[in-house]
Amino acid sequence: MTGKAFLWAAAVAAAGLAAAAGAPRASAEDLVIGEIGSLTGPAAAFDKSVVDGVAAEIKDWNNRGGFKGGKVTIELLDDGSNAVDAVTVYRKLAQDKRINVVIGASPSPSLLAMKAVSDEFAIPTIGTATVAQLGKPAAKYFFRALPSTEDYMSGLVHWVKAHGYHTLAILNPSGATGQSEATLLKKLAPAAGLKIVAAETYNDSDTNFTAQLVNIRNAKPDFFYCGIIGGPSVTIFKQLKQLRLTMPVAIHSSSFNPAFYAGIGGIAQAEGVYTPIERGALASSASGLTLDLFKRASAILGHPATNLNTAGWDTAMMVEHAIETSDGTRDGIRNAMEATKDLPVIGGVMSYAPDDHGGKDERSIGIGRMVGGRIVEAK
Amino acid sequence: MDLATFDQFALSGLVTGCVYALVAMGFVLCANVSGVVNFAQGEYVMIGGLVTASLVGLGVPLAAAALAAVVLGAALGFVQERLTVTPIRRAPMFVQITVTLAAAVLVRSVALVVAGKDPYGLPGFVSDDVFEIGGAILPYQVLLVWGATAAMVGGTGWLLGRTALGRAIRCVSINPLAADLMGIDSARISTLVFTASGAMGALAGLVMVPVTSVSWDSGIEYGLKGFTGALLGGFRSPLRATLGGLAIGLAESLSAGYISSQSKDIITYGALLLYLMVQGGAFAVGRRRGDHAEAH
Amino acid sequence: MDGIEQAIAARPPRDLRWPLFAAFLAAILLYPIAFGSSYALGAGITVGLMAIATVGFVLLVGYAHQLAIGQAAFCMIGGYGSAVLTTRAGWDPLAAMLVCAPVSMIVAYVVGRPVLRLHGYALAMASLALQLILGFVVTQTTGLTGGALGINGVPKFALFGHVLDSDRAFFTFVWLVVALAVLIGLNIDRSRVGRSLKAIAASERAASSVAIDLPAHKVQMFVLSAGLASLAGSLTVHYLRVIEPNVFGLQYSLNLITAVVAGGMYSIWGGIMGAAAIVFLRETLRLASLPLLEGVIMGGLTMIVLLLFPRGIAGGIAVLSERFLGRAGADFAAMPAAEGEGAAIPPGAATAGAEEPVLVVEDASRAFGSLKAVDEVGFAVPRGSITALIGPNGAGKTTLFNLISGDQPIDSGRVLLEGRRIDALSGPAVARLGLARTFQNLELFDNLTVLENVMCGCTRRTRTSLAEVVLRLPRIGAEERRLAAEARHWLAFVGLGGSEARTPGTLPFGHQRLLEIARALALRPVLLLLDEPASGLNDSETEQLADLILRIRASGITVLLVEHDIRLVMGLADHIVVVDHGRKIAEGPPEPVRRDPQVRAAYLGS
Repeated sequence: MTGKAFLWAAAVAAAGLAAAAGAPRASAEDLVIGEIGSLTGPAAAFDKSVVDGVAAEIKDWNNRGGFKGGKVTIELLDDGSNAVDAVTVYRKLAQDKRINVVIGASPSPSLLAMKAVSDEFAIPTIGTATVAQLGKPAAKYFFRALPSTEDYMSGLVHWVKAHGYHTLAILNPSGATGQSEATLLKKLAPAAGLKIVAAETYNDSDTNFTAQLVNIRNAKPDFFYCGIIGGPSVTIFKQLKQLRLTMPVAIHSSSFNPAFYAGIGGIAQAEGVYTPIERGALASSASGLTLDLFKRASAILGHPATNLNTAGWDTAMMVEHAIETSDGTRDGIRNAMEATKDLPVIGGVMSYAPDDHGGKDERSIGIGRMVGGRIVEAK
Repeated sequence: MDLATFDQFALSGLVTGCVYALVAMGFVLCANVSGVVNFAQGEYVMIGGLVTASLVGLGVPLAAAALAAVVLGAALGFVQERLTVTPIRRAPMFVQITVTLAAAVLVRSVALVVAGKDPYGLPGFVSDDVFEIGGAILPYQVLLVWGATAAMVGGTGWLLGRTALGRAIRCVSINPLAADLMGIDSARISTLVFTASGAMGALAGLVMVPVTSVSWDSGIEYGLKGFTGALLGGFRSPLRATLGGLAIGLAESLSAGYISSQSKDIITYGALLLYLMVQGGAFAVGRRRGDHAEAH
Repeated sequence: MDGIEQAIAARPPRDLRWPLFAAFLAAILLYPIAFGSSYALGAGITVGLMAIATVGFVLLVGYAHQLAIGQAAFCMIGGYGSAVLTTRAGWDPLAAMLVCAPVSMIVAYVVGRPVLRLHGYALAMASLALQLILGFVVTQTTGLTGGALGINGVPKFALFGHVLDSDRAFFTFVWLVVALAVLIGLNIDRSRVGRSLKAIAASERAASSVAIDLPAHKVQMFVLSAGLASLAGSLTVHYLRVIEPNVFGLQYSLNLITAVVAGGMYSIWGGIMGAAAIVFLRETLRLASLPLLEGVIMGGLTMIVLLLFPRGIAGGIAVLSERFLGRAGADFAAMPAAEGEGAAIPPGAATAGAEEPVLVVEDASRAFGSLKAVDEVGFAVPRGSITALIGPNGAGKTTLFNLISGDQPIDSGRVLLEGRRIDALSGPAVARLGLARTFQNLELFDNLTVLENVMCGCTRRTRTSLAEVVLRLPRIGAEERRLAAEARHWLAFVGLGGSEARTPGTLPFGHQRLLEIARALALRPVLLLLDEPASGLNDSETEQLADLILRIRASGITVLLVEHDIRLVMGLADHIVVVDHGRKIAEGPPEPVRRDPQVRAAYLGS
C-alpha cells in the first residue's frame, strides 16, 4: 500500500506536467498582452466582468484587423483575489519575453502589491481598480485606468447636495472598495454640507442585514448610498425593499448587472435607483464615438455593457492605443501611455501626466438612474 | 430603544438562527453516532439552496427542484459517511477533522465549478409579500423557515424520544461498542443519521434562499455559526444544540443592531474562542471519543 | 484504518538524516547558482516562505497530532507586525521579525494552554476563531493597518542594515531560515520531546502513566509552530512589499493543511515537500488556465492522501529508500552503554518511614447509575509488600484499580499515596508522585523501539529545557546517554537485554508484558500497580513473572497486583484484599484469607 503512495505522487506530478505542457500557448507571431484577473476568491464575482470587457475589446481589435495584421491574444493568469499570488503571476508575466504590457483586472490590494514591485519588473502595467494611490504618487511603470474612488464619491456627494438633500446614510461592505468609499464619504459629505446620519458596514459572508437596514431606516436620512458590490448585494437590496426604506437610494454601479436584476426579481425592481457611474455607460446620454463604442462592446458581450465591462474595455483600449502609437517595446509602450492626453473611451476621456498616472477623472462621473429598464442620466 | 426595532432585530435574528440551529443539531447528531465531527455540515445547507435555485433557474418546477435538492443532500450525507467517516472512525481525531474539512472544501469547490460564483436567489415560495408582527416587518417566507425548522427539530425529538429507531440512535451515541453487543448495527445507524442530516441541511438551505440567497461559499458561514451554537449547547444534546444555534442568530442580529455592524463577528467568534479557553469542560463527546480514538 | 497505524508505526531511517541535511544545505547554496532565472528563484522563494510555516506545522500536526485550522493567524501576526513596525515606526526588518515571532508564540501559548487541555477539535476551532477575529481586527483598524487596502511600501528585507536587494540573496536567506526550522524539527524528533510526542500518539493512557505531560507537549509544539509561522509571515511581507487581510486568509490556512498532508505530516521533510507540491500544483493550474479547479484538487488531494497514503510524499520516498537502501537501524542500538552508569542505578525511591503504608484507600465508592461497582472499600498496602487485590469476575476489582490509578474519577472516599491525596490528580501527576502501572491489554508505544519505550519511563527525571532540546546543546547528548543506559538497566532487569532495537510488536506476547513492566520500573516508582499481569501467559512465563515480581520487591518497590490467577497470588502475595459485589469481604495474609468462609463462598458461588 505504501509503495502505491510514491507511484501515486509520481502520477500526480506527471499529470501536472502534462497539463502544463498541454496548456494553450500563443503562437510566436501573435501580439500577446498579459492580464492578471481575479477569477477565483472573493473578488471573482466582481472582476470577471472586467475580464470580459477586456476580452471584448481585444476581440474588437482583432475584428478590425488586429495589430499590424497579426492576431492579438491575452495571456490571462488568476491571482485568486490575493496579493501574494498577484505578485507571483505578475513576476511570471514580466519574465515572459513575448509580453510587453500587463493589464491588472484585480482588486485594489493586488494592484497595490503589483505597483510596489512594478519599478523592479519594468513592464508597463495598467490596473482597473479605482483606488487613488494606484495613480498618485505615480510609479514609473504603473497606471490606473479608471476614475478614482474619490472621483466617484465626490461626484455623488455634489449631486446629492445639489438636489436639495441634507442628510445621508451609507452602507458599505468591509472590503477594500467599500472601506475606501466609506472613508471618503465621511470626509467629503461634511465638506459639502451633507450630514451623515448613519454609517453601517457588512461582511460579504453575512446573511442577515436587517440590523443595518433598520438602523438606517430609523435614522431617517434624505438620501441613502447603499454601496453594495457583488456577494450579498441581491439579499441586501431585497431586504431594503421589504423593510420599506423609501428614501431615494443610490447603489454601487457595479451592482447594475444582469445577475443582479435576475436575483432581485427583474430589472423593474430597481426602478428609480441611482448610481454614480461613468458617463459613457449611460447609453442614453452617449453620442457619437462613445455610443458607437458602447454598441460594439454590447454586441460582442451579447448584452448591454455594464459599468465593469466598460471598465475592462476602456483599459484595453488604452493599451491598444499605447501599442499602436509606440515601437511596441516595454519602455515605448510606457512612454506612449504616459503621453496620452484625452483619449476618448466609453467611460469618458483618459489622460496621463508624469506625476499623475490616474486615467479617467471626475469629469467621467455622472449620476445614472434606472428608468424603464435603462440607466439614464439623472436629472 | 423602541420595541418595534427590538422585535425586528430579534425576529430576523431568529430566522438565520433557524439555519444555525439545524446545522448545530446535525453536528451533534452526527458526532454522537459516529464520533467524528463533520466539518462539511454547513455545505449541505449550501447544496440544498444552490441546487434548488439553479434548477428553478433552468425551468424545473419548484417542488421538483426542492425534492431533487433534498435527495442530493441526503445522497451527499450518505456518500460522505461511507467515504470520509467510516474509514477513519478509529483514526486520530486530527485526521478525522482534516478529512471532513477537506470534504467540505471539495464540495464547496465543485459547487463553484458547476454553479459559478454568482449568488442565486428565488422568489418567496408562496408570496414575496411581507407581514407585520409587533412592528417588525418580515417576508412571508420566514413562516416557512420557522415551520420547516420546527417540524425538523420536533420530528427529530419525537424520533429520538419515542421510537425504537430513536432509542437505537441514542444507544449508539452513548456507547457504540455496547450498542453493537446489544445487536444494534451502529454502522447502519451512523449512515442513516448522516443521510438524514444531509437531507435536513438541504431542506433548511432551500427554504432560506428567498430570504438570503445562496452562493457556493455560503456553507462556511452556516457551518461555523452552527458549530458555535452546538458548542454553546454543550455538543451533547441535539435539542440544546438547536437552542445554541438560535441564540447565535439572535446575538448576532442584536449586536449588529445595538452595538455595531462591525463588531458582530468579532463578538461571535470571540465568544467561541473565550468559551473554548475558559470553560471547555462541556466537551463530553470530544473527550470520551478523543480518549478512545487517540489511545488506540 | 491500517494505513494510519502503519504510518504511525513506521519511522524514517535515522542514520540518513544528517547526510540528508548536509545535502539539503548544499542544494540551498547551489540552487541560485544553477537557476539564475528570476522565475525559478521567485518560485523557490515562494516555496521557501511557505516551507518555513509548513515545517513548523508538521510539528503540530504530525507530531503533536493537533490540527490548527487557522494556522495562518500567526503568519498574519508576523506579517502585519513586520509591516506596521517597519513602515510606521521605521524599525529594522530583522528586529521587527524577531519581535513578532515571540509575540505570536505568546498568543499561541495563551490560547493553546487552556484549549489544548480539551480534546480533538478544540484547537481546530479555537485557531479558526482566532484567525477570523484577527482578520476582522486588521480590516477595521484602518489607521494602523490600512484596513482592507492593507499597507504598501514595506521595505525589502535587510540584515544589519544591509538590504537583501537581489532575489538571489533573499532566496539564500529564506532557505537558511527553512534549514533552521528543519534543524529544530530534527532535533525535536530525536529528543525526549519527540519520543514523548510519539508516545502520546501511540497511547495517551500509557503516556500519562509514565508522567508524560500531554497538554504541555502539545502546547510546546503549537507555540513552536506559531513562531515559525510568524517568521514566514514576516519574510513573506518583505518579499511582497505589501500586506492586506486576504494575504493570510482562510485560503492560506487551508493551503498549509493540504501542504503538510500531501508532503507527509509525519516527517519534517514532508513540510518542505508539501510546500513545493502546493506551489507546483497551483502554478500548473494557473498555466493550464484551470484556477477554478484549485479548490477541487486541493480538497480532493487532502482527502485522498489522508485516506489512502497518510504518510504523503515523504512517506513514499521513505518507503522507496528503504526498499533500495535497506532499513537503517535506530541509533540508540549503536550507542555504547556508558561504563558503570548502568550499575549505578539506585533502587526505587522507597525511603520514607518503613511503618507507614505506601497506599491507603479510604471508603472508596464508585457507582454507574444505580449499580455500585465499588462500595466504601478501604484497605492499605503495607510498605515493601506484595499486595494482591482479588475477587471473582465482576466483583469490582478492575473499577477499584481504575480508581487508584486515576483512570476513573472517584465518587467519594480518598486514595492516599505516601500520605498525599492522589484521587483528584491527573495521570501524569500521580505518576510523578511515584505510582507506576501496567495495562491489562498492553499499551506499548508501537512507534518506538523497545529501548525508547523504556526511555519514556525515565523522562520525568530529565532536567533539560525545551530550548536546550531545540538547539541540541551538549547537555542533551549526555542526558540522552544517561537515559539510554538507565533504560538498558531495566531491560536487563526484566530479562529483555538484547532486544533494544526491536519494535514492541515484534516481541512475543510474554516479552511485551515484561517490557511494560520495565517501562513502569523506569519511573523508579514507590508503588507498582500490575493489572492482571499473568493473563495470556503460559506456565513457564508465569513462573518467570513471579520471580520478577519478587525481585522487584527486593529492590525496594512495593507491588499491588490485581489478579485472577489464585495460585500465583497465593504463592506470591504477603497481603491479600478480597472484594466481591463491590465490597471488601476479607483482608490479611494468604492463609487466613484462604480459609475465610466468605471468600470460599464468593469463589465457589461464582
